[in-house]
Amino acid sequence: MIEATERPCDEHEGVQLLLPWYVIDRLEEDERERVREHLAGCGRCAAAAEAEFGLRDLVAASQASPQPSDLGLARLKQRIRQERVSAPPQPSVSSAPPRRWAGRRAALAAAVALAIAAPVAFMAGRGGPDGAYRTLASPSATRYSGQGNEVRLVLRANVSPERMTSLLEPYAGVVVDGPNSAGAYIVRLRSVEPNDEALRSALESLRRQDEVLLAEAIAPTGRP
Amino acid sequence: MTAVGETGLRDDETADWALIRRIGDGDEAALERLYKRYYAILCRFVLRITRRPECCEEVVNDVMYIVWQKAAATTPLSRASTWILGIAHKRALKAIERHGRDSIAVNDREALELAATDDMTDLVSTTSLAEKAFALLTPEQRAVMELVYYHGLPYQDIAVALECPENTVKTRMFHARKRLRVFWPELTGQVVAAGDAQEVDA
Ligand SMILES: [Zn+2]
Repeated sequence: MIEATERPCDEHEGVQLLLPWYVIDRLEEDERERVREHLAGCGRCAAAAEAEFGLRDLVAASQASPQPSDLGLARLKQRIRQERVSAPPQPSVSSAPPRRWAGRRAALAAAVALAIAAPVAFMAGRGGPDGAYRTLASPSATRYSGQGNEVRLVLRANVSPERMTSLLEPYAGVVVDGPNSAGAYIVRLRSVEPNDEALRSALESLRRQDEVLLAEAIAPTGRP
Repeated sequence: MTAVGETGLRDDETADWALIRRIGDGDEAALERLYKRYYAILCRFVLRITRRPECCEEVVNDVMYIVWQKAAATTPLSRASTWILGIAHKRALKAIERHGRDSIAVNDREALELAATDDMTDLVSTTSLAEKAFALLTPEQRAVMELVYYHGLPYQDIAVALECPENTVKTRMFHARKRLRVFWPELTGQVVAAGDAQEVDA
C-alpha cells in the first residue's frame, strides 16, 4: 500500500486497464513488460492481478455449452431455402446482398389474398372420430380427413392461445385436433384451396413465423 | 475440427474462411458444418449476454442466417470467429431489446441487498454465485468479459468484433470488474478485497 501511494495514479490505472489481457497473456511485448515491472513494485496491483486469475477461471468455467439440435439446424435450412425460393428479406437483415432472392413472394400473396378473417375456432383435445393416436414420428397414424388443406403444426412451447389464433387467422385456420404428446396440432386452413400449390405457399408463410417449429402437409393416405 | 474447449474456439481460421467462402457460393453443407462448429460457442456467448436460454436458438439461427447472406460479400480481414462473434453480439443485444431485459440489478447497493437476502445454499455454489455476479453487469460488459476470459481475445480483436474503440473495450472491462467488487472475495477466492480497483476509478 505504501508503494501504491508513491506512484502516479494514472500508472496504476493504466496497468489495471491491461490486467485482464496480462493474465491471459495477450499483450504486446512492450505492454507486458510495463505491467510486469509495475506489478513487481506495487503490492495492490499485484494483488489485483492475482484476483484477476480467479475471475478468469470463473468466467471460463461457469457456463455449460449446449449441443446443436437437429431441429435448430432444420429451421435454419428451412429459412435459407425459403429465402432462395420466394421469401422477401427479413427486415433486420435487409442490408444483405439481394443476389439470392430469386423472386418476391408471389405465391404467398395468393395465399393471403384468399384469407378470410374468420375467427379461429379451437377444438383442441377433441378426439378424432376414430380416436386415433398420433405422434410426429408416425404420420401414417394420423387421421386424415381427406381434405387437402389440413396441416400438422408444432409451435414453440411458450406460444399463447391468442398468438396461435393470430397465426392461424390469415388462413381461417381451425384446430381440429391436438396437441398430441409431441406438441403437434392438426389444423385445417379453411381459406386455403386444397391443392398442392396453395397449401405449399401457406406452409411457407407459416414457417416464416418465429413461433412455428414445424409446419407440414398431412399426406393423404397412400403418400408418405 | 470442432475444438470447443476451456479457452473457447480454437480457430482453424483458414478452414473457417474456406467454409464461409463456400457458404457464399450457396453451399448448404458448408453452412451446416459451420453451424455445428459454432453452435455451442454461440449459444454460450448469447446466453452470457442475454441471460435468457430461450433466446439462444433464435439468435444462433439469426447469426447463421446473416452469415449465409453476407458470406459472399465479406472480406476475411479479421479472424472468422471474430467476425461471427461480432454478428452474435449485435443479434444478442437485439434479442434483449425484443424480449426486454431480465431483472438486472443496477448498482452495488442492490447487489449487496441481493447477496444479503439470498439463500446460503445458493452461495455455496460457485456457479450460481457467478451467475448472480454477472447479473450485475450490463449485457455489453458481460460480452467483453466472455470475449476476454473465454475466448482469450486481445483487446484489439474485441474492438474489431464490437466495432468500437480499443479504449472502450479496456474501460468496459475495467468497469465490469469494478461492479463485481461486491462479490470479489467469493468470486476470486481471495480473503480480502485484493482486487479492489476503486482508487483507480477515474
Ligand atoms: Zn499499482
